[in-house]
Amino acid sequence: MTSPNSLETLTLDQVLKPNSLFQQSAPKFGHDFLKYYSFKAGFLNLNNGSFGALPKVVTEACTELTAWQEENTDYFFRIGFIPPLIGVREQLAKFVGASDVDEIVMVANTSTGMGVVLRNFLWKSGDIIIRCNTTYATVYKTIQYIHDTTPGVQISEFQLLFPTTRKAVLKGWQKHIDNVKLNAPKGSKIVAIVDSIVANPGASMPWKEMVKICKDAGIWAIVDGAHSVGQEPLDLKTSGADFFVSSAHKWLNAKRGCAFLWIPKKSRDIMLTTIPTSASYVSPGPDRPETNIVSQFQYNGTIDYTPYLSVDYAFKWREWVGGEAAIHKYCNGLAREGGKVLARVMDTNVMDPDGEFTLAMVNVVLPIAKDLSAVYDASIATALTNKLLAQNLFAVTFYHRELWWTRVSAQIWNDLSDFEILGNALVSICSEIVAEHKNANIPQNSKAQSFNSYLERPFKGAVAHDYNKGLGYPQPVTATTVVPVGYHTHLASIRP
Amino acid sequence: MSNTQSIAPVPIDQIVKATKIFSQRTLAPSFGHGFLPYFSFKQGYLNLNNGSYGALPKVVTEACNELMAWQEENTDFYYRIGFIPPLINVREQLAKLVGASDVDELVMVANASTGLGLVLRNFLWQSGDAIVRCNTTYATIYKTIQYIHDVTPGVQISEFQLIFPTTPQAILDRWTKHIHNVKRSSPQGKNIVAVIDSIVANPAAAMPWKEMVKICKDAGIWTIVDGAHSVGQEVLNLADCGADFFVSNCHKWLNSKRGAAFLWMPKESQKIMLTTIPTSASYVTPGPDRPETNIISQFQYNGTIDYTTYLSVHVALQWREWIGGEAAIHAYCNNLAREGGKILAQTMNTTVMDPNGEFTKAMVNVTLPFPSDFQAQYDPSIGTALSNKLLAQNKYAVTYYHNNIWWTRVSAQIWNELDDFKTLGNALITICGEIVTEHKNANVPQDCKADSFHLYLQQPIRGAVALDLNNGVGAPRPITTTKVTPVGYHTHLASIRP
Repeated sequence: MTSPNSLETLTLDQVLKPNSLFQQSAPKFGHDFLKYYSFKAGFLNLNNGSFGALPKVVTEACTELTAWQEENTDYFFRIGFIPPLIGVREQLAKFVGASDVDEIVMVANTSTGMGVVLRNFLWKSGDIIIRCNTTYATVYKTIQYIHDTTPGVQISEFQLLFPTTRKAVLKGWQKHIDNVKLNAPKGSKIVAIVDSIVANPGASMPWKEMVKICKDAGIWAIVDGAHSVGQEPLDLKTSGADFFVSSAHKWLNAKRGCAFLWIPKKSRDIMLTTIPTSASYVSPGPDRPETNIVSQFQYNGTIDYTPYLSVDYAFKWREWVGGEAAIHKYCNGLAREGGKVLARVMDTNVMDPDGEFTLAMVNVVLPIAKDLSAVYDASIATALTNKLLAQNLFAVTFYHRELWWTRVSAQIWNDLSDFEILGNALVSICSEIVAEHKNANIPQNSKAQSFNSYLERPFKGAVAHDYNKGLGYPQPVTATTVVPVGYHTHLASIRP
Repeated sequence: MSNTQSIAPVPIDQIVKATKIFSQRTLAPSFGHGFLPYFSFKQGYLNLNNGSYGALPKVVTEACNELMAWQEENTDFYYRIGFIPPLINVREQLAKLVGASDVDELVMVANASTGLGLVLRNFLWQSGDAIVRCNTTYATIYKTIQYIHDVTPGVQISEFQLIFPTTPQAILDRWTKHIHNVKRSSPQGKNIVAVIDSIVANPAAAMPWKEMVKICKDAGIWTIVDGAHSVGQEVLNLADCGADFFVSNCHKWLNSKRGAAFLWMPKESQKIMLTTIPTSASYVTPGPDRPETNIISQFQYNGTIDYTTYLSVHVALQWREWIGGEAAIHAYCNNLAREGGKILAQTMNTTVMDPNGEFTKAMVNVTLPFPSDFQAQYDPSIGTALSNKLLAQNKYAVTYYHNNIWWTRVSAQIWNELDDFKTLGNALITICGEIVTEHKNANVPQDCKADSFHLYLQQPIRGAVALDLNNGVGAPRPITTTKVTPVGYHTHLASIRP
């Protein structure tokens, strides 16, 4: 006879064992924290920004969550996950200053959240979408796709070129918005994508002011806040934005892929459907006075909810290590100081010496000869990535305004010496690349005037990996043999 | 001084140690309860619902933990180089398993709803186009089609009624008629797209889908096959099937981690596929510059996700080999479903939907012991009550409403035995008796009932009854107590889950 089973809903505190680690005091920020992460021995991680890093205690919590999911999967998917997920949404709502839990839903990542918003607008001929040259590639291309498949939809691209100043950005943005508004057909809608923190370069923008400029002009403002949560304090209810998306797996220590989408009540009517469309979708009509988009987000295809639920434990971790303010202070301070050290070692310069755009990420020019930087060359990007990885360290490298840069993330496991190590590594890497590049036979069609015109091209024929004469593992693409790319497209140069 | 690190790709078998059990020539147990220790079910839990969410063998769980550790060791290596060859390898293995002509016909997606939704959303719908669905089309697809119709002026929906019990021949005769009618009323040059289930979810029914596909192809109609339940439950040979698209979940019957599914698109069909969702960084505008779509490249990366679910397919396939291989698994499960259905019907004194087994593979449908006047209308409170009461008894099988009857759909898996069906039957007798009694006294609002499950699906869920939150004390109860609470954002979808 089977014993009756409680259908009681559980909170995550009841599901997850408290971690004994939290009884101890946390170490100081710096290398002492390395043992709380799962990096391979000797790996120098200066790129938290792209993919985040999962603390061991959160990994353990995720293992328990998976076990819970497998114990009685029907209970989990029909009852069990719901209150904990609502609990996570409540925590996030409070954390980011949303007015209500029902303004926050979970999505897999920022690209997905931004994409579902953009795809919910009912685009018509005459509508205009404003993006920047620096808009993150998946969002940039979503806009491109909408333009390509909806006759008459215009793209208006604002050029954001660094170095610059916040004042100059706002001035330029105001002018741009004014022009778009002036030339927009009557009755058209205009939607602008504003990055709170640009990815490449890593730049914290005056986004609230940019949003205000949009709102004053009657323009929709969708904020790509991928890097924001956990890197800067947020108070979304006063932000003025229409939508805001941020990845919890970048700077908030949640499991990949986990992000939230903020949909204030004023914006809800735009949101007709999740993607994929939920079983609870109902056709608009007199019967259905308002969208039920928040219900739809609860279930719209079977996924692993563990990344979303991991946010709960991520918050506990962050409290334990010292709390938001302490984390931000350490990382921001280290980014600034570290950038200076890096520039000194490489004998180059920091993009943003006054720190107007700098939070926990800093950009420094790479020591690559000007003539080699004149045109965007994807092989250099791949070579940089591969050579860094081959030296057991990583920071993002990117091309902007005819210069190659590195973007370095400062995290609680980093200290100033890491920047020195990176600098020395980059000095030798860059000179290797310059030397090898002379002898390489890089096809002209893998080069482009700018990174963005490279993005417009078909990848067929573009150079990504040299498969080492077919022996199967990628070499930096500065060897003399280069191999065209088939389906295996290596996107190192346009990763975040 | 910094150390050097190989950036050579690493095959999964080098990363995962948990699978060494397979090469140790340890013998797998016989199918049946002897397999329970290899899964993670809670003690005493009787799982007769593999169909909805699958179940992850412990070995695959351990392998996933190792894959996660690998992801965290050097995340940049993983995302920029590391995951790529193993993912291609998984696609190659799946391509071989399902009879695709080439690895580049097969890409991974999170689940069938995502894959099917993506295909449907890539068509550039125009006024005059028509989409053919069935009343039994899975709810997320059913609603995707609804959405497309709602936002694209002039797109028609043509719904084919699939009512069980029936026979494959009867279905094909009516389908032929239906397709001819749709074709006849379709304006010249317009797209007609039909969504066909290889195995319907509710009721569980393995369809004559290849014949249905052929009827469509002969009429020049696109066919998108929702094969959610197929891979691992039946043999597939997609190169010969004639369909334009096919999607199946690996986490249902193939033992991979949730959510992993594949989307099969033969080369001709790839022309339709302009973009992933979200759109990939490698998307390129169609034009003379770009003679063909690069959709396969786009699938490689289009937003940061955990690839562990996709990579787990590699280990899942090894598991299935070790336990006996596809043919043995299918034989056991299909036979158990048939025999188990008979036992279940006998125990409850009701009937099996498909006594000849024409539609039966590893899932079987049996009527529930409710009086017929009790079932005249679709009442979601009964759906939720059934679900909750089963869970409260530490067991599960799906229950659903079809053709004015409440049914149970039972999955037969390698950890199940005939006894399980008897245990379920006895539990359902008690449960149904309780529900009939409680329902008499409950005050279930009229507006949560509907003439059919599908009319219910069309309604706003707001106001619909789902959970009685037990006077606010927070534990959901079957909605047959006298107090009912309207649903806010907390929508309990027990009655329309797969």
